[in-house]
Amino acid sequence: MFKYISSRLLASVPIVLFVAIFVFLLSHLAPGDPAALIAGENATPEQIAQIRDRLHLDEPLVTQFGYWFSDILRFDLGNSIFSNRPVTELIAARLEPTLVLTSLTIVLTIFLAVPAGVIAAWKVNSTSDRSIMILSVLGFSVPAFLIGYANMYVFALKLGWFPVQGYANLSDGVLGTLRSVALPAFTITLVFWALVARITRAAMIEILQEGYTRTARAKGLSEGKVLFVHALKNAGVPISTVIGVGIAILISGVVVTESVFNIPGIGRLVVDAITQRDFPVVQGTMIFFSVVLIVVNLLVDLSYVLFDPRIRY
Amino acid sequence: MNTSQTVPRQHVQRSRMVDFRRFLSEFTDGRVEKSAVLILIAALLISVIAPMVYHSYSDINPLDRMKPPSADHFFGTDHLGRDVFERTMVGTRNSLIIGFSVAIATTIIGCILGLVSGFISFGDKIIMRLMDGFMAIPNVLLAIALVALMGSSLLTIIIAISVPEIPRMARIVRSVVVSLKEMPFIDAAVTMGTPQWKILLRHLLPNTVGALSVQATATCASAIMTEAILSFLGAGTPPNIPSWGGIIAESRVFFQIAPWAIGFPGLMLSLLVLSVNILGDRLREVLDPRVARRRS
Repeated sequence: MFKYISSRLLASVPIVLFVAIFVFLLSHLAPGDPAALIAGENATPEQIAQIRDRLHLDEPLVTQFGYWFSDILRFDLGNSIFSNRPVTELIAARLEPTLVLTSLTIVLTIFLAVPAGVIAAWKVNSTSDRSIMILSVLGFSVPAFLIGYANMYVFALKLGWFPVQGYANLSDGVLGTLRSVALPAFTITLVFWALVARITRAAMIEILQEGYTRTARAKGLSEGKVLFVHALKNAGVPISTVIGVGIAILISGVVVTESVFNIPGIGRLVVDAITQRDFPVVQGTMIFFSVVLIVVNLLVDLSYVLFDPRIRY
Repeated sequence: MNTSQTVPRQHVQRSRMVDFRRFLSEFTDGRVEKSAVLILIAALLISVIAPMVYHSYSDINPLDRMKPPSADHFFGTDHLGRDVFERTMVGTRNSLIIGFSVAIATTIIGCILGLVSGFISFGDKIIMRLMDGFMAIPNVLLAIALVALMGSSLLTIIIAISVPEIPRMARIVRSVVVSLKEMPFIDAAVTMGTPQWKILLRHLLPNTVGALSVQATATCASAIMTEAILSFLGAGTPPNIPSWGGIIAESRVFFQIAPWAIGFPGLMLSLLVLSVNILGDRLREVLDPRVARRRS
């Protein structure tokens, strides 16, 4: 186990390095002076000179990258142009809403998508299968912001069940927080569940044809037990894999939904940074999300042990 | 019956005309697929005709601000009194151009990378590590950052959306090539002394067409969606070109007063992406013998 984890961590080193090099080069790929780009449009020549000095822009590219990367390894992602605060601090301040939102989304997705996928596989080609599949295509096709506005219109403006926009901090009460992220989480769930439901269905269709499913049925287990205990356990690996792969979709959903519902999370941070042309923040959040993506996928790989005892690391 | 059920895929290439006709009839049998094809054709026509018919789509009319849908303005008007219907219709072109361009660019580049890395083991390591790296950056973020850097124009948006899509395409082509490489017909070609480029182009490339076209359709749908997301977030199509995401972005502040300015372009967007996705699904069913067998 330990050996596997360390080898996987080692394997992700080149990926992290690649992401870092790419994000670093982004500011150099753009036409013009990187210092002017990073300083923003309203910078004075002194500020630009200061940034040039701080980023060691007069030295060779490799040296510059060395300085920049060693800063990142010490969790120093530079300072925001707009607020002049460290990017790591900005990300940390915005972490809570995004974390709450994504966790709730993942929980909701699992509770909605897995049973739907199981039922669709159980009754392949039936009306319920067809309707679940059509709903899932809709999830791929309707943009998150439209679902978000539709939800907001119905559940917040017309029915008044949830607040229209904004986020209530956890420290002010868990219930208020849940109410404030309920609609955004439901919105991303409607986008995300399609992927999970489809994989669950595909995996379950194959599993239901296996010998051990027949055995389970033959020994007189109830259909519910066959489906949700014996069969579903075997679908654990593909389902957790797709959740790992889907984190990228989840992140784009979070970026969009946080803007729709005005939630001060990391997604909003990126969007605001882009409109303000706050380049260090954009670079910092890209690195942050990429590392999250890599770590989540590592955790997903480790979770295989839980579902399939044949897998030993 | 489906030929692909009994005949291995590499032989399906023979007698192309007969096969294509059968493919077409099979492809458009259900009602849902027929409507999807019709919607796509309608969108193509609109994208050609609308910019010729509607010239006043960006005319500001302060007296007609945020009027609900009516006979004069089918989709109502936005906060500047512009006709949402005309803007939406004209915006179709933008979405289609981006969808198709990204699909084509991604297919060509992804195909080259996939063929090379599947066939040449030296290239494989480098290309696949690079692709892993790109896949580690969430695609919408990567696209936003690229647009923010390069400035927004039609070309930069196409590039920005294509870059994150290429790794997926390359991986799919690579996986097909890797599994085909062990097939006897490739061994036969190697034994006959066929040059490598010819094996790549004449034997491997034609067999990736199925997987490629399925992925290209999916890419087209997701590109249309990503462009709308980029425009919605303010890092997309420049405001002087009407785009669905752009119309929604401009109207979002007035959502409570004029929800139609968001709803209608959003519905058009969903309808188009839905049609492309349905066709992609159908394509997968027709081209992938494993799925076809399961359905029958």
